Amino acid sequence: MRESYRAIQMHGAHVVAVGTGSVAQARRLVETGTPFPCLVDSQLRLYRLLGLGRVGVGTLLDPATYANYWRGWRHGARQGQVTGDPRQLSGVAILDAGGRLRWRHASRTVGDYPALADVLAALGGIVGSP
Amino acid sequence: MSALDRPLELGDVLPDVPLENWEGETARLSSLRGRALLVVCVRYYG
Repeated sequence: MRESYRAIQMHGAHVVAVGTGSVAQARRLVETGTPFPCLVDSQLRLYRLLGLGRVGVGTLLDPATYANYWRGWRHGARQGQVTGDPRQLSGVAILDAGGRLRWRHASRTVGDYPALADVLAALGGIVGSP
Repeated sequence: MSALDRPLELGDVLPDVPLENWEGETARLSSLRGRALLVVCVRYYG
């Protein structure tokens, strides 16, 4: 995500990360160089508004869950302390300048993030090419 | 689930949900209007 930030900025868009966990973890990310705001939604209201799903039995049975874990592991991702709600699935949304929801990716399982190319294409369709 | 928490449809305006910033202060995404906004909701910070 940090590596993608420059490409997203070229579209003139703001970027924020939102997590369900602790303010202390968000602070650590900002203090260690994350170039965009890291916010916390401990009540999960934003997640519900964006229609993001929950980890369930289907998630545990989905081979993509384990493939995503393995892909993350190979790229150096290591799980730290879990805070917040570990059953909450992730997602990505794009709002236009007026705050309208224009694009959304609701993760089907753990680690299911959209490709950067797809995000940039959606962003370009909303704000125009850089 | 209240009406304010019903999932949005594409084209709906996001209500002004209060979040917390990394210093524990209230942060509102509405303060970033005027430019497009990419919101990445992670499972958790860890």
